[in-house]
Amino acid sequence: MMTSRLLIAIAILLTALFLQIAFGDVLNIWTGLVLAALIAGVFFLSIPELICVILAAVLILNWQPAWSSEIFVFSVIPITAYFVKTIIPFQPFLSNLLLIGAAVVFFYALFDPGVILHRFGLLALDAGASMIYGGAAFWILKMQS
Amino acid sequence: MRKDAAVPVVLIAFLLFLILFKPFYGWWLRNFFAPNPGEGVNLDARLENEALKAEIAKLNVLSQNPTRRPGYVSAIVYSRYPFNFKNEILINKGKNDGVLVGSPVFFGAVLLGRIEKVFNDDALVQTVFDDRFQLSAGIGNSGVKALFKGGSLPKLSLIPLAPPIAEGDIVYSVSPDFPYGAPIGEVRNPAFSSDRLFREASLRFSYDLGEVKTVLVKK
Repeated sequence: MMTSRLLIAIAILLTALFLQIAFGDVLNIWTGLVLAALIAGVFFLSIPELICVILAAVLILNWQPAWSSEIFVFSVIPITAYFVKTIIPFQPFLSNLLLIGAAVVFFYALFDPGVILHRFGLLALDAGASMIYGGAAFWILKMQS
Repeated sequence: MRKDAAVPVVLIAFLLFLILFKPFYGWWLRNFFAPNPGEGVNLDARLENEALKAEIAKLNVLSQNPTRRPGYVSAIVYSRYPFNFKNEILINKGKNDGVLVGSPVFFGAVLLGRIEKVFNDDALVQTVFDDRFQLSAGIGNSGVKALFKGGSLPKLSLIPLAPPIAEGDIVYSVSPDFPYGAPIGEVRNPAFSSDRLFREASLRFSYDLGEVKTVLVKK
């Protein structure tokens, strides 16, 4: 049961990686689909499983042979969401969407706050795409569990 | 340890080993996911066309034909920055190959960026699509000067009102940090600035960054 849940989570992660990299390479627009997949996993995976999929994402997304603040924050957000989810007073599906939206906005606010003011369309596109993918990932994991 | 926790724990140890000691496998997987948009389809011809246009512009601006500097090293693109905040690529040549911080990087003959960080066997390239990238640029046969500002949609600004520029004019580097006349792209949609004291324009590039698989670095 646990192994199949982990395999499905990895499949969702790999699909997110493919879509994020394909859109980024072709359109030069990078979305937070991988982050969304990890946050959706927060509601179904145990801590070891969650760390496992986070590390798989880091292995493929880390673009340099050194640690970076972006990758560090990217890794910490799902772990934080794992503990924060219990204090959000909504149904899990809504909490999932809320956490994904908040994570995307937090990521931009931390590393390029100018985007929020000057390129709001990019932020809206990223948050929207991430929430749609995260919502779909949530339902797939829910059906399996 | 419970039996059902063994699988993720073993995977965590394996992934940590790869991340810390063999990151190359991650870059290989990343390239496995990456599409090859239009790779090879007229790309060489487009790059050649841009280089020739820049050469003509350069000959019109300079009284002598500058020789191309020797000492370039070819490098393979390993990976690419995966968020919207920067635009960087990782290449497989570093300190051990004589690559230095600030060295110009080319895709064909077209200026792609500069070396931002050097590791022993790899280096990080800040591309012209990075918000932090800017340089002095010349435009077309007249050689009118402008400020090139990088970003997801790079722009030319502070272009004097005369002499005139036109759609399709070649844009090339006149910065002392890069070889003179290195082509960057072509003028697109020239217009007056909001205060009408200057002109500004966006740029058309003969390649997509996703197509860039090998680059040349000046040693």
